[in-house]
Amino acid sequence: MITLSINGTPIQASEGMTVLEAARQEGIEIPTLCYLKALGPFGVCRLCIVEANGPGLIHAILPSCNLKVFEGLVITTDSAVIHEIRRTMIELLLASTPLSESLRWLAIKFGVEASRFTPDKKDPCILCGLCVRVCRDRIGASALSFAGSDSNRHVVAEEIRIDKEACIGCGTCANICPVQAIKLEDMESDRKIVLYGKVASRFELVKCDICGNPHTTQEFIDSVVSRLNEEQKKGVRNLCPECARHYYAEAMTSQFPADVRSNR
Amino acid sequence: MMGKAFSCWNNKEIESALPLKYGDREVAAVIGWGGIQVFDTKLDIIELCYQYAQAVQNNSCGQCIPCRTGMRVLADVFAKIRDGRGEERDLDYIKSLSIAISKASMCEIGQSSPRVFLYLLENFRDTFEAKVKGGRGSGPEYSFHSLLTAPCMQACPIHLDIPKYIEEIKAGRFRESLDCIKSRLPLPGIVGRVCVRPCESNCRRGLVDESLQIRHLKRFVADYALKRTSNTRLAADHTEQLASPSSLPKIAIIGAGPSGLTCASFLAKKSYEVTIFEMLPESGGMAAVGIPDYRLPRDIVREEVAEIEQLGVKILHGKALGPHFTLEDLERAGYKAVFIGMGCHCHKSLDIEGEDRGYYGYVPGVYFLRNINLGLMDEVPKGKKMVVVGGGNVAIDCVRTAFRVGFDESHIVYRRSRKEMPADSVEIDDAEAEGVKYHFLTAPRRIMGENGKVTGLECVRMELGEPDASGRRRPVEVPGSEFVIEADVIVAAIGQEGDFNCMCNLPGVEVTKKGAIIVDENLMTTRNGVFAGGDCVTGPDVLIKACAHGRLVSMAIDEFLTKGKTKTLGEVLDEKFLAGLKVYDPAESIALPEGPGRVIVTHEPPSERINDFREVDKGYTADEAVSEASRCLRCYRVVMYACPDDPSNA
Repeated sequence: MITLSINGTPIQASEGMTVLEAARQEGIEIPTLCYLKALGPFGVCRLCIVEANGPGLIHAILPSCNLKVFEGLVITTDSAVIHEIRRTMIELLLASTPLSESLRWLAIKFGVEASRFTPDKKDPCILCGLCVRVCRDRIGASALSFAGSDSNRHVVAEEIRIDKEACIGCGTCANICPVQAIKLEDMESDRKIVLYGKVASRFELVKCDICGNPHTTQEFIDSVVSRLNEEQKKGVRNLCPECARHYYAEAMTSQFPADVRSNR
Repeated sequence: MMGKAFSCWNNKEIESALPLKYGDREVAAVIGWGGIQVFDTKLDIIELCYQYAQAVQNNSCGQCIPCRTGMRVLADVFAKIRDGRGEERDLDYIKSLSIAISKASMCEIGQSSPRVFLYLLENFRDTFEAKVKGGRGSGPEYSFHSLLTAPCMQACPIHLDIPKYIEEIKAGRFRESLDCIKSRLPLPGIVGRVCVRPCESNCRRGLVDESLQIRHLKRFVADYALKRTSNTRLAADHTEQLASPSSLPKIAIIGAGPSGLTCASFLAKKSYEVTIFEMLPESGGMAAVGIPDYRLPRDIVREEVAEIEQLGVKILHGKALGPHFTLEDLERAGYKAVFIGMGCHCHKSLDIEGEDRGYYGYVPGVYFLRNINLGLMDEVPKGKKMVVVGGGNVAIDCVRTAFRVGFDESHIVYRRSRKEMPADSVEIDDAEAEGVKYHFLTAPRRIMGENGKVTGLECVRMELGEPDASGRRRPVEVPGSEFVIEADVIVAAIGQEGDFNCMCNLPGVEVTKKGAIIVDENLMTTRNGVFAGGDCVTGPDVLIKACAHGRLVSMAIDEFLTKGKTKTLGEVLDEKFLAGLKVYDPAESIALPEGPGRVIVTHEPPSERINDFREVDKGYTADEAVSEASRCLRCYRVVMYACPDDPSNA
């Protein structure tokens, strides 16, 4: 175990943990937009910055999501300097994208009423990269990517692009997007993935074998099945989440004697 | 407008700074990562700040919000003040934005750029306040030019965009990473193996823990593409480029070494008809015949040469300048420009007794390596014990090769200590692991022989005295300390030089006393239309430098053939200008905790590898490359200079 201090309180953390994880474990809040435990640190939203002191560090301002804990580290998550920088960044976020749920929450929390700066972008995307990473690292489709302008080779992140061929229509990107820049629009058996207000890819939904409601894309089912072994494949049913819950509950309880089942 | 000329760079106030020059133009002001220097007080400082913020924004990669949006907003604020719409609170905006951007940005471009605004606000607030109140001033017009650099990029002789290609590796875009390298260097597989990597000794990560292994990363993407690119794909790529039949002038290149190949590649891409004349039966120059296969496998050289040939470059082997043709012959044959890239293939003699006796078993290092590389094993002296004289990379190559061609013992004799050895420290360690014996502070005195055969090397002990011109301590003989190392073969590897016979007999091409061809800034020799580069200009130097010359000459030839005699290339001026600004500051302290150390590349075990010429370094796997790339701090820096508008350029 490693002992560090966060906001004056000594804290125990296990080796390899990040400051963000150690803080959250203790219930100390640090705001983030681009961090998700399942995806690991990415370090682009810069809201999770903290002040770090300790061996080799004097008043260093570093993102806590990829700062590993070490012995003797002294962290301040809410000093005046940090607060001021975060406020400025929230203003920049507000100046760069229209207001969304999560940004409004941040603004209220940090007492930012309006941005001092003039806005530019019209879409709400903050380029946090959650969609790109979840599609690549968890779904395995790699349909989304950052794209820069062709004229300037140094711009690597100007917008998110979607590769229609690679998209399997699972909708994870829309679920994970903190600012609703990607939306999933299901209309009967038609699914649209809407990116920056434009239809980026379109799918026909397959119907649940039990209730007949359209629920997911064939491409998504295929992608899941492709990762199963032969034995697992035998158990695959084309069911919507609601019917699947009933179906598998039924299957499980049927293993018990009839008198136990009748008690439910 | 500033009241006085002033200068602050890399945290140092410079009282009476000499005006900087860009080429022969006087620079009015410089603003950049290190601070600001103002020489012309009529320059509008707000305009300079605006232009700089705009330039930084244009170079922002767009990944993190402080730099992406913050720099845009900062530029807006400066534009507002410049246009006379400034308000008192704008100065507070500049301050809080500059703090947020410099403290919270992800990489150096955002962290380093706005610091200068904070410096200006602190020291010249009056001037800023006057600007806010006074609005737009009028004065002479200036033109602004920005340059993007990084410590590694500046240290690299060919200025590869290292942060960019490492970023691509980090994102798993290996093909794009290779494209980035190839836009400046057509030999990534070769350079990725044998470069002496000045980039790594200028890597800021090295100030935190250990520098990045940039060379291994380069090799990784080169190998990755090689494994995945079928020849058909390669051919397809190139037919596209060669679609328009060449109607451009013919160009002759002398020497198919790194500089010649690089030059040929870029000229062929511009659709010139390029012919390379090579004296040896093999292409690659020193990369092919001077470096053993265990460091640089021949397949790699051949693959990369083949790729250049597929661009339409013709390589004629067995053609040496002098014995087989002259510069006049080339002119008569219709070549409109010539590039001499013939390297330094002649050896420097030891100047000791016994050297000229013609003993069997005495051989210069370059010939020893060349004969082995060309498969001429009959020419290689045989024996059990080899002694190599020298401390450079050629000496190490010879001494390590010894085991691989059947010697049981291999020794190296060097007159200074290990610390002064010019050879790559990794090579020195690898050689030791293989069983090479070092004799430091030992100088050769006499080559001993019997019956026409070498029997040993008489040596004398040395001690280090005062530093000499090279900064290394000069070795001094210890009287009476002579001793003998028995040997069957003695290899002299104390340096190379150009072919005097050839170079001194080129009409119109002037040569220095040391035998290097004299060139101007664009690498043109004293003979019009004849260019030279690589070792025959610099003396024995590193491979990447030769490639850099080749690339520069390709641009100079293009300028020469399209515009006649030309001004100094912009690239050359940029390089000189940046060199004066010290992009890498070894004294800088970086507020970062030590991270995970470098990813160690795996090696073949020494006991096995010394039996043959298999490649020693195994190279990175994709996962290793990505995690090494993730250590990059991405130290891009933007600098801008302003010059008074030149009416003659308008």
